[in-house]
Amino acid sequence: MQAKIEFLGPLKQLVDGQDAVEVHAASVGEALEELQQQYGQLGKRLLAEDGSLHRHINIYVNEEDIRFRENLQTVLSPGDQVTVISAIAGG
Amino acid sequence: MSQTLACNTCGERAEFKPETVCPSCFNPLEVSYDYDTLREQLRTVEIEGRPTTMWRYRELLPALEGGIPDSPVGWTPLIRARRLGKALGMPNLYVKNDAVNFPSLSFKDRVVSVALAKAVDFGFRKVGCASTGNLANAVGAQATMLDLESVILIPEDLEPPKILASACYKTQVVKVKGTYDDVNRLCTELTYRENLGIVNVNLRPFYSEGSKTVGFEIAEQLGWRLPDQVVVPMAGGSLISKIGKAFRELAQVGLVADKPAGIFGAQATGCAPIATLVKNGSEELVPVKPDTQVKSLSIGAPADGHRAAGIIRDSGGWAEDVSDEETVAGITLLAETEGIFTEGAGGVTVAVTKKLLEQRRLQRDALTVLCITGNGLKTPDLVTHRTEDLPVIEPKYSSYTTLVTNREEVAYAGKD
Repeated sequence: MQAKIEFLGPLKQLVDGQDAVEVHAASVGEALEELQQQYGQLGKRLLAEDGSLHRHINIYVNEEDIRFRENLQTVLSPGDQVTVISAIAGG
Repeated sequence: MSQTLACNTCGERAEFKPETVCPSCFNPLEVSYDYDTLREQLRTVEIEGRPTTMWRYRELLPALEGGIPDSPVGWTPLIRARRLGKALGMPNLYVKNDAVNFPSLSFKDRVVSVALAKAVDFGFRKVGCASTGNLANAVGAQATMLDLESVILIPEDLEPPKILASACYKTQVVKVKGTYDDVNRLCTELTYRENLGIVNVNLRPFYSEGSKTVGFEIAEQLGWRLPDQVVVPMAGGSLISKIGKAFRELAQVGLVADKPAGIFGAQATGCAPIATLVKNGSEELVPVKPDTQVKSLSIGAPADGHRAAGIIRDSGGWAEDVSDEETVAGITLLAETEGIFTEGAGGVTVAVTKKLLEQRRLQRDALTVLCITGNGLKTPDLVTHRTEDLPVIEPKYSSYTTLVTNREEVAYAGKD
């Protein structure tokens, strides 16, 4: 499944400063694995030791927090917009 | 430079800039101070001689290039709450009353005072916020006072009285379809796409420091000593974390004697991710979709949730949550005993105090401070039932005596 993954702010450095990258993956987790092949540090910086998403990173699929869907198993559909963003905001 | 931004996880340091996450590890950035030097410099007598605003603690707040704001924010009353104490069975109870903070009647005036001063330092001409209501009022009021353009983003279902003032200030109010957490995500995106100083996103390391002044004032108003226990409402978890930091800092720079101060957190049951984290003893916070009438605490994915839970646990404190019915009872109890009319968050704080006493988590005789953070006039919907069925009489003395005087006589007779 082709999806566009956008990285905002300091997180762009994970994909060599690009605003967005295209991936072919069935789920968010698969998309991150694919990106990990290309950008070596990405997985280590986004994921905790147990493989879950780092607590200070949020990922949204079409503006919805994946923690309210299936976390990294959230299925991607054609044309989905994925956004990776810092969780340190608000309050 | 005596102050820097520092990552509270990897320790990386950076000069002041409008950024909220560490570029190396993406954990939160925080303002760091030179406590050894401050210990040599700071004296209580000098602080006591300064104007009674939150800026009397300027050395423990982010350094400003543009001078200290002259707006009288902070230094709200610390009330010895004898009647509430009697009702709860707590003889040594105090209320820190930020419901009368200047200019917009909540503790958010403090954080905004710092954030907008830094926004001016950084050269922002336009500022904004994601808000559950109180912050919107604080940003709207203070941006107006500083001639800054501002935009306020709020969930569309906020209580009308809470956005009434914001709609009158010189600011742009934008309602967003969704929860506070949706608004927050949008605001984070905005900081990376527009030249905006969003107080609780890219100005957050500075903004959050303003909350410490609640803790500084409590200690000074108690005669430069820390309370034994403090009960604090929790939304994003920032205020309670910063009150903990304030107590630590005061001891570190020698302004108070170091002692354990139990920190207790209060949430509404319909949105209690931090209280749940504390009570379950779990490692990871589980975000929730808020379902409570206490909108000012309706943050389902709190940015400082883990930190708040850590500070509560380390202090020997605890957290609890209460229903909206208990919250309303808390609002009316505070109003009936102390004459302080608070919003939903204050009702939560009073009701959680009662619950923690019943659980024996709070010590009855210990010096305890309840943090009341907002004004009841902003959330009238919670208590409008109190205005229903009020008696109406003819404008005649006999009507008055029938309703009031005779009833009082019966009441007095009953007491004999």
